[in-house]
Amino acid sequence: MRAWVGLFVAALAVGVLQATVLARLGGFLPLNLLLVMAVLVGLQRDLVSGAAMVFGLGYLQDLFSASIPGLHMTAWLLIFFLAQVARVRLSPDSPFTQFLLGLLLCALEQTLVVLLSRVFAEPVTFVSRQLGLIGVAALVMAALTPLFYPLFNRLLNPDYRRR
Amino acid sequence: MLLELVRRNFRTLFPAALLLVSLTLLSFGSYSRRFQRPSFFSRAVLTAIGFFEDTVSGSGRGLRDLGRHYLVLVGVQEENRRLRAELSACQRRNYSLTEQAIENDRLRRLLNFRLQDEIKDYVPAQVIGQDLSGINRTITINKGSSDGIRPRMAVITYDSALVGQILDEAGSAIGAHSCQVLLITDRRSRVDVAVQRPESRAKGILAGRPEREEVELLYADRLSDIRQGDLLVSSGYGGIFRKGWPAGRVVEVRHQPDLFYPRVLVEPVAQFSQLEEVMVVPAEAGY
Repeated sequence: MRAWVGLFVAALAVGVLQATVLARLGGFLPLNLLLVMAVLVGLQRDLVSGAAMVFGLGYLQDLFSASIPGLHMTAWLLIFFLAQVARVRLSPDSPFTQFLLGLLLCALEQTLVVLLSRVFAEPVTFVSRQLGLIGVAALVMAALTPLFYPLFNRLLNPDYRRR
Repeated sequence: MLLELVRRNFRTLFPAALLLVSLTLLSFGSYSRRFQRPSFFSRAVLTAIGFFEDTVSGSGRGLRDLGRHYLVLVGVQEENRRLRAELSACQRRNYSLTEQAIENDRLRRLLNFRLQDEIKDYVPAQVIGQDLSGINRTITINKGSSDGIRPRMAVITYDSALVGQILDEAGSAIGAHSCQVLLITDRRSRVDVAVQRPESRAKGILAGRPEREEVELLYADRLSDIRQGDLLVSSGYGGIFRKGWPAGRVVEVRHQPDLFYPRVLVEPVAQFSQLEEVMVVPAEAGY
């Protein structure tokens, strides 16, 4: 229960921070901290509770980004499933692995959102400058993954320290 | 039997069910307008988020104002002198324009023209958040349904430049104390505009191109007279934007053999990156 409440409060705080402060400071760089959270949930939680958490995070992201309902929920659930598979093959214990998985999943999320938008909404086209920005944003988000990993480990697994 | 099967395969079925729900939402949201209306729950969450966004933005504004008003006073005297000179020039221009307006008014009355309404019934609002997804272009303002915000309202800057519209559907939901504005640069936005230059008055539909932070004029007549630097204003059709509000300036006109209309790239008049305060204006009576 503590993990759920912690995640909800953190998601709300991150979403607000993203829409206000980061929007002013980051300018045109599409940094998405909620996505980093979803990736971390995928790397740290089990299939059932993690899927429910990512579902909620996707809903929040759809609200914050004014997308059609379900766009980020679907994309992030697929990313979550991939993270579950990837963490079995590639144990995310070292910062380098966390960075690598973060980069792979963030880049894939952008591709998935564009693909889903093409199928279900109006076609999205990107110019090379924007693709470059998305690449830089994916790199920054991947760099944030190992930084937030221990913090989220405590948030998502509150009993971890007691054991 | 079925319950036992579900219980046994819960670990697989539950995530699969969530994926199915989100895919269903996505499908219905994109094809059915009824599902595009934000739910009560979405409005409640938006209202709660809006409260926090307003608080954080307010603190940010306070800090920025402190910096502007008290800490950064270098060059103020020089700026003051320049502004006084500009004010004198503006006053001289204002006298001349007032004279012209009076004359114009008299001539319009003579010709029985209806005078364009002055904007009196607007709701002032502050920008408290913006979308950073890289795909959509929306902002959140600190006024909602409790402040009189309704669907089909226009959002403009204080000098009447077009900012966007409030539609109360996915991408532009209205909460109790905050709402999302679909900017004219969003790919879902469409605004009917005309070239302001009297010799041209060419019409077209302004559509967002978020990938280039520009808008594009669609469906203008191939033979229409559109030039670089032309100002595009809202035509008043559709009822959301009143006639004559500046939307953007033409930056490029290209004629392509495979298109029935010229490709016209437009730079919006409103500076979206510096947007802090806006005016929300209801649709004209009769629409």
